[in-house]
This record gives sequence, C-alpha cells and structure tokens, in this order.
Amino acid sequence: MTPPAEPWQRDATAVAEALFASRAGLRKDGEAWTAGPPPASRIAWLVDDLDHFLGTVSGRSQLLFRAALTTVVLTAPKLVLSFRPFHSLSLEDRVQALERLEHSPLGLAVFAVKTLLCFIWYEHPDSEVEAGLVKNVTALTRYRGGTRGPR
Amino acid sequence: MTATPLAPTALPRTRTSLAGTIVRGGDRHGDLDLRADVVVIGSGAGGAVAARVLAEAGRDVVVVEEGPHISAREHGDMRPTQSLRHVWRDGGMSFAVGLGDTPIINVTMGRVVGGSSMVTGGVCLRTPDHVHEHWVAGRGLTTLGPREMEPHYDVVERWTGVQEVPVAMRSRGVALFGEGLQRAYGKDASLASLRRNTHDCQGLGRCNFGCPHEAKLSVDLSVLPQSLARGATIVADALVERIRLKGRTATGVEGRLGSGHRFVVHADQVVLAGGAWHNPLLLRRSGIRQRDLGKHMTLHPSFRTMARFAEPVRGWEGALQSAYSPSFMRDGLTLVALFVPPGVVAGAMPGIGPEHLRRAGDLQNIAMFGCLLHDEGGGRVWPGPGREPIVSYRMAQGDRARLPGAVKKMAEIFFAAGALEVFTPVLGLGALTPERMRAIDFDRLPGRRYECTSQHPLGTCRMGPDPRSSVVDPNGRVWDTNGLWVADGSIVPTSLGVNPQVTVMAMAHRVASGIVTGT
Repeated sequence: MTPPAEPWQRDATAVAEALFASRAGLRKDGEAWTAGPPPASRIAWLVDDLDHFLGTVSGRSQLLFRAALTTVVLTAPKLVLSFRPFHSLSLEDRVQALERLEHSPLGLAVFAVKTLLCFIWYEHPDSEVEAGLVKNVTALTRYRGGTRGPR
Repeated sequence: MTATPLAPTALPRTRTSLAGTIVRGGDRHGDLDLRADVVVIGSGAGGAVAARVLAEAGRDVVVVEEGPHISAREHGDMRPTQSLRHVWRDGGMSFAVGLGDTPIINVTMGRVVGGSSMVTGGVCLRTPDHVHEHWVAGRGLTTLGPREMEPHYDVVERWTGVQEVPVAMRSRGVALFGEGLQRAYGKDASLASLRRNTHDCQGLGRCNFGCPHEAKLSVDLSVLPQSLARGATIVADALVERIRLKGRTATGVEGRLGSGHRFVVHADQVVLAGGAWHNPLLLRRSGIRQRDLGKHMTLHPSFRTMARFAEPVRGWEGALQSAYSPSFMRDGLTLVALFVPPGVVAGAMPGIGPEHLRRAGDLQNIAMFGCLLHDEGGGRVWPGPGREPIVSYRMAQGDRARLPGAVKKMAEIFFAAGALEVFTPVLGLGALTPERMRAIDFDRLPGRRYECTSQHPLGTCRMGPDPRSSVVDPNGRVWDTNGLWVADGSIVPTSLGVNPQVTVMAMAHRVASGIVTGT
C-alpha cells in the first residue's frame, strides 16, 4: 500500500479511519468499545477518489475543505488532552476526539469533512457488507457505471 | 490570448455551418467565430426556453454554455459524486457567506448543458397567486399578475411534461410525515402532491444525480432538442467573458472555449441566462452599471430534518420529491418531501466510528422532510479573486426569527408521527427525543449552528418599473441598453416560496416572446 503522498491525504486517512472504525468488542469495563479500523484498501480508495474530486473543484473550494480538515486535525487532539499529531493518536483516541469536536462549537468543520468523506465512502459497493446499508438502497448506489465509473 | 478579429460579413451563418449541432468547446481546435441573430448565454431552464421560443420564431440562435454537454444517459451512469464533479457547479461546494447571525449557506447549481434543470428534483410548482399579486400591487409590475403569466406557465409546463406525482409514489417516510402533520396541526393540514417534469418515473430516487431511465424531463431532453431541430447551435464548454457593447447597444459575446481557444458570436440580440450567481459579474465586466446589479439576492434558505422510526420507512422509495405541505406558506414556510443519497444521510447524522456505523445501518428507518424559507433577500454578489464570485447573505430579521420555530415544527410533526428520534439541522445537538427537545431553547442557538442549503439563487438582476431600483425593465431588457435582455431566475423580483424552475421558464418564455413580437 502506497503511503499518502501529501500531508492532507495523511490527515484525511487518519480522520477516515476513525470515522468508519467498526466495533470490535467491548472493553473490560463493559461500557467502552475497542474500535477496529476499516480495511486499508477501502481507505486508500476513498482518499484517492477524494483527491480526484478535489481536483475538479475550484481552488477556493479545495482550500475550504483543506481548512476544515486542518481545523479538525489541529483541534481534535486537544479534546483528549493530547498534543501529539492527530494521525499519531490511537484509533480509540481519534474516535473520541472527533466525537467531542463534533459536539463543540467547531462542529461545522467536522460536518464539512464528514459529509464529503461519507458521500464518497458510501458509494463503494462494500458498503453493502458494512452495516447492511446498501442492500436496502440498491437503486441509489448501484449504477451501470460500477464502482469507479467514468470519473 | 485575444479574440481573433474577423469582419462579421466574412463569417458563415450558423444555419449553413453548425446549425442544429452541439459544438464541444473542449474538443475544438482553433478559434470559433460565429454570427447569429440571437446569442443566448446559458442553457438552463431560462436559456433553453428563450432559445426555443426564438428558434421557433425563425431566428438564427446560438446558445453558449459554460459547462460541458453530458447526455442524460451519461449522467444516469454516474455515481452521485461523479455527477457533482462533472454536472454541478464547483462540485456542489458553492456557498454564501452568512453575515451577522446568519448560517453559511451551501448553494448548489448545475454547470452543464441543461443547467440547474439537470440537478433539480424536478419540482414544478407555479408561483403562488399572492406572490404574483404582490409583484403587481407592491412592485408595479402590472404585467406579471397570475392571469397574465398563465399562458406562459401553460406552454412551458406542456413542453416539459409537468404532471402531478401520484400518491403511490410517496415513500412510507413521506406518508408518516403526512400523518404526523395531521395529528399535530389538524385534518386541514394534509400533504399535497407535488408537480414535476417527469415521464414514466420509476421512483429510483436519484433525480438530482441523473436518471438512468431519462424519466426526468430536464430542458436538455424536453426543450433544447426542439431548438436544435430548428437550426440552433449549442456551443458547450464555452465561458462567456464579456458581452460586447457598442455604445449602449449589444453586438454579441466573446469568451474562451474549454480547449483554451477564443470564441466570438456576433449577434444583434443577446439574451443573458447565466443565473443569478454569475450574471451580475458578467454584466459588470461588460460595462453595465445599474445600481442594483448583484443586490437583493434571495435564496430560499432550506434545511432538512431527519427522523428515526422503529419500522422501516425506506425514504428513498418512490419519487425523490413527491409531496409538500402548503399549510404554512402564509407564514413563509414550505415543507417539501425529499431524500438524499445514503452517504449524505449518514454524514448528516451524529456519531463517529461504531456509533456512526450503527446509525448508518438504520438508514432504512430514516425519514426526511425539507423546509424552505420564503425569504426577504439579503444576498449580494461580489467579484472574487478567481472565476467564482463571493456571495454574502444577511438573513432578514424576520427570516432569522422564523428559523427556530420552523425546526421545532418539523420535529413536532415527526414526533407526532411516532418517530423515536429526530435529527435537526442544528449542528452538535445530536439525536433528540421529545424530552430533550423540550429542554432546548432553540431561540438562543446561534445562526451559525444551522446547516442550511439553497438550490434557488434568484433576483440579482431584478425586474422592475424603475431603473433606480431594478436592473431590467418589465420586458426583461437591461435598462438603457439596446439588444440585451436577461431571461432567468436573476430577474425574479422577489423570493417565491416555492421551487422556481417553472417560474424561471415562464418568465423566460415571456421575455423571449416579447423579443419576437418587438414589445
């Protein structure tokens, strides 16, 4: 797997891993969960497609998205009392940090990043497997164009 | 690169060269120089209708469109975000900057042959009579009354196949909202069927992102082909940079093709239909200096409310937009059924990681309804550093004051319908139960926390009887300028309170008919 080429791709990867992390089990206290990361190939597909998407919009919109992403990765670690870079936090800490940021006055930045990531993520046919989502909405997501389609 | 100056007399008439064709500017090698009777800037609901009226009247018409030509079939093959990339303006990421206590408003538009008609849900509601009456009595536009506009509505509705959406095309989610509406507001507050420009709709629920069955009759399917058949030429991938003026008389347009080459269209009549977002900048660059140019933009600020039910409601089934509630229109609120792609639903719900996936897994239990504010305006278009303008929007006090009440109303209706949780458009609130909702003072929430969208930018070149307070005269002609008309949503004098597609078409039909008859 090729590592993300640019800092924003590394940050998008770290956010996406947390956003789409799945439940892997309960911790000993029985209340918290241990998150498992989504498949690396899915994340790579997402970030690659996001890169293509951003290449088709204006410089201003690219800047807007990257500003929102930067706000998220710079601010979120502070909410779990960490000064480490967001991408170096454990998956659990990233999930918790994003949850707190989502409910903070900076929730708009999370919303902007999450919206675009989700929009692309749920276009992948593997979404059928996860959460049983697409089996219910086949007509919305499965087109003649297939997964990649005419980008 | 500069325009190639050629004597107009040396140019071929489009009728004998490119007549009836679509020229793809991105593939064009070399500059393009055309001559026509009329050049229409923009091929959306306004431009397409104007072009057809003029072509059917025997005029030699060239339509210039900034976006590419993508067939309905190609569009139907796209994933939603592919549609955003290739069909929507700026990937659907345009926005109006909220001033004061106003939310940032995401404003979506089409940028393609067919314009925003390609990305609408197909809603074709006529402007309510009381709005037309206000234009007559309050704005002095005596020829825009409901009776005067009726023939124009009739024609464009026939052209685009407007029909009522059958009740059977409502999803369970929409039906439940209707039940909740009656429980909360009485028997009179029922849902009404929307009218849409569709033919043989199979309810795939993706009208905004291209219909694989070509059932949505956007103007690229319903209006432009007739113009081509009458000899019109469409130049796609062609950005008009300037309207040519000789003194106060329009003489054509010039700009840049997608291939980088220049183009010029010489014409005695220019019809601008580039939309309220861009028209003001183009007119200003071309030397038009009306005081109100770019001001008074209305947006119909809109928001969606989602609700989770215990049972599957399958909000994506049936027509994407099937019904609406006129019950609160006098209060400036129009409630409209809608649904959006699963990724957008999932992204709009609170939660990260397992919590997010759990909620996404409940998608079939999620219902959704939209609310549109009949706003007073407050938007303004400013030149920006790049191609796209900067648009500011200061929500009028009255509109801002109605926002919390509208959100509460939507939530109450869903709870009355039996929803377990409601997701309001207020960022950070999370999932609300009736108890949690009662504990929140919505009036104290800052405007910036509202997730607001708009699909209806209107009014930046508004029509009026007085050049001191309008940009175009009652016939759509730019004040004090010969041969230059505007025929799209930018001339609409006030916000409408309903989706503007059919009004834009009717207004364009009226303007173009006036050009033909010389009135």
